[in-house]
Amino acid sequence: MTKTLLDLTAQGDVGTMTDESKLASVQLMNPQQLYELWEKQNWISQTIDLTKDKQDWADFTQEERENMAWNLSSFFVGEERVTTQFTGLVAAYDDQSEDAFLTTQQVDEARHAQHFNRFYEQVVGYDGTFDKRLERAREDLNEAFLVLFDEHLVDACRRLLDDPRDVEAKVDFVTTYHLVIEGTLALTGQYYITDYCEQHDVLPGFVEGFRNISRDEHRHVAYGTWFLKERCQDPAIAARVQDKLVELLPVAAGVFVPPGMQLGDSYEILGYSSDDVNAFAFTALSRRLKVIGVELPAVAAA
Amino acid sequence: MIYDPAEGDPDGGVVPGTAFEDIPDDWFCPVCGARKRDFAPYEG
Repeated sequence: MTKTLLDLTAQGDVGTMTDESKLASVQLMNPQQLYELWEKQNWISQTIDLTKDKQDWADFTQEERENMAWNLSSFFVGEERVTTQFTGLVAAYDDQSEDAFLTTQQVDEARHAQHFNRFYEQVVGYDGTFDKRLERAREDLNEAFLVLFDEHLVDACRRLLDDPRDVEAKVDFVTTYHLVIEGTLALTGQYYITDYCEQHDVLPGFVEGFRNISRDEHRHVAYGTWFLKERCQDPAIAARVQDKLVELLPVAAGVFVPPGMQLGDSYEILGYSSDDVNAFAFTALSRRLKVIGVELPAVAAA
Repeated sequence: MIYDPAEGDPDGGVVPGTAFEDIPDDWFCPVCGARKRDFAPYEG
């Protein structure tokens, strides 16, 4: 048995964290500063050299190709999902600086999907159109992923499109996307996939793009942390964030589970243990919640 | 975030007074998840 993200959340804060934490007083970058950082960190997805990646992919064993495809498909589809499901948040801006930043994030997500589409076309060898490649990548995904991205994220976007001035809907979207999907799941996957490729000296073109994607997502998560910290000064909003986490964490915990395994099973992803992966994700979430000023919610593990 | 050596990151195991260069390589930003190597000198 392994301790899942859900188990760790039910367990509460980890012993290495101190009560004297000054995390709640960390000075955060605001949307204007994050927009200006975006201008300095632009990159081009279409010119990345994938020559060695093609050879590395051909040299992988069938098992290595399947493992890598399962890991990367969640990012390929995830980038498409958020590109198309981000319009509601862009419409919900409160001032011009936030509008500018949120617009850059939607552009970033489109560029990330382009990087994956190019990789799947040129390296993995999926023929057809961008849409066909996405359809095929969807076949790799588990049920928890589909519930999170096709139901929770889509619903959060729809509510903002219905009423961009709905503050609670905006808090729910940022909690769903920036705090759980991007800040807890994606950054964890990126860490381990990048580390694997670097340790094995494989897929350098993919890693070049993936590092740029991670850098973009650090800005995005910084925005989400800033927004929630501002809003959670209202205790009712802080409680709403906790409630949303209680709703989402049982689903999110299942996203990491590879084919043939069940939540709670011990397994390895690219050679990394499920305990390590879940602990990494939990630490990221719990530390970010401290910055925001919201306590870990009491989530019952299954 | 902007790392302040005077503050450190006690919650992340970095005591106040720790120079950026002395932070462990596996340290992560508590705000955005950036690794130590992703940080750049502050030009503000």
